[in-house]
Amino acid sequence: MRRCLITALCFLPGAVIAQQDAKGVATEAKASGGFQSLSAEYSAARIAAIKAQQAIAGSEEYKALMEKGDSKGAAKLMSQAKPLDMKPFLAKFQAGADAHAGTEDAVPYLCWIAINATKRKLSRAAVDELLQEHIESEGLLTLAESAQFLGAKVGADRYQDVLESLAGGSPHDLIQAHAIHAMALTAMRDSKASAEEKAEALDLLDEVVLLAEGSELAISASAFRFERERLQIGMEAPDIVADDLDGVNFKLSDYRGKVVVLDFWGDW
Amino acid sequence: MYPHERSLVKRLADKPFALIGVNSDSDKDKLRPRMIEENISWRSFWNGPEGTSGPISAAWNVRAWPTIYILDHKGVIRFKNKRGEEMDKAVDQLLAEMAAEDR
Repeated sequence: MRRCLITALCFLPGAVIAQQDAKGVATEAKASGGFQSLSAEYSAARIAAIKAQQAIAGSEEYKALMEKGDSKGAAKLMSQAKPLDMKPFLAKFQAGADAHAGTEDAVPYLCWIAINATKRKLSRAAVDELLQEHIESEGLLTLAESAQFLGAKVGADRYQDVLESLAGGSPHDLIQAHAIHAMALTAMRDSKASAEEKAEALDLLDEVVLLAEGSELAISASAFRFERERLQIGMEAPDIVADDLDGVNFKLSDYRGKVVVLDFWGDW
Repeated sequence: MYPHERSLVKRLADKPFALIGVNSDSDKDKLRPRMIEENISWRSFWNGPEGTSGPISAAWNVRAWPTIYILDHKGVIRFKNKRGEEMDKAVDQLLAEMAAEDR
């Protein structure tokens, strides 16, 4: 009950101040109005940084340098566009996580740090805190949805552990499914994995489909499996039965006896 | 890409060859005049009103357009994503295989 109350209060600026007074801490993160607005602030800064780069890329000066083949000069010019400084944002998200430490409200801040930190140490610390303190939180879905990219963040040596903790520790099916999905993909892409291990990984996708039933993840996992098992070179193409653009039903197999180029296209 | 496909279809008009599309435009009414304009004569399955999220491309795990599969006369997948000259070569090879089998 207390948790619900805090969540509700955070959306009211006045109440946030009251909460700050009660705890005796005033952090920048809170002052800027909670996770949502901090997140929006970050997105805006990111877009501004991208726009600055685009502006240089579109300038006559830059084009002229590229035309001359002066890639050094072009790179130098491009460096005038300041890359987004992550440090202040990391500090703000960390402050948010600290201010809410131990409560559900810390989860989105920690997920953000885990996914966006540019230093492995920070990502690891955030992930560890999430797994140790918040393993039952539904908010871990944000982390789970990025499971495929976490390896680069926490390091290969920790990655498998992280995925196993999520898959085995979270009570939420969809979170488990995302973690298992990332495990399966990792195994299938591992050049050192044996054929047997790869086949096992493919079977994991069935688990994903069951756990994530009805979600985008289930659709993409079953399509991935179908492609691996039915759409490889040397396999007989599965039949397609559907209407043509005039509404006339036909089958791909109607064209057996001919060489066929099957072209997934669109006019855009 | 249409010009290349048009010329392939024209060149192989009297060969046992078919270019079959899976069209992922959500709006068929907008597409129709474009097909006349571009002289797109080959037959296409329609991926449905959901466009690129339609059922055929979803089942075939297509995430990029165009995606191309080249099948031999037995319906076996022999090449993927060959475009331009490579597509011509692949098709010619499969037609030659087929002719050799008939002999």
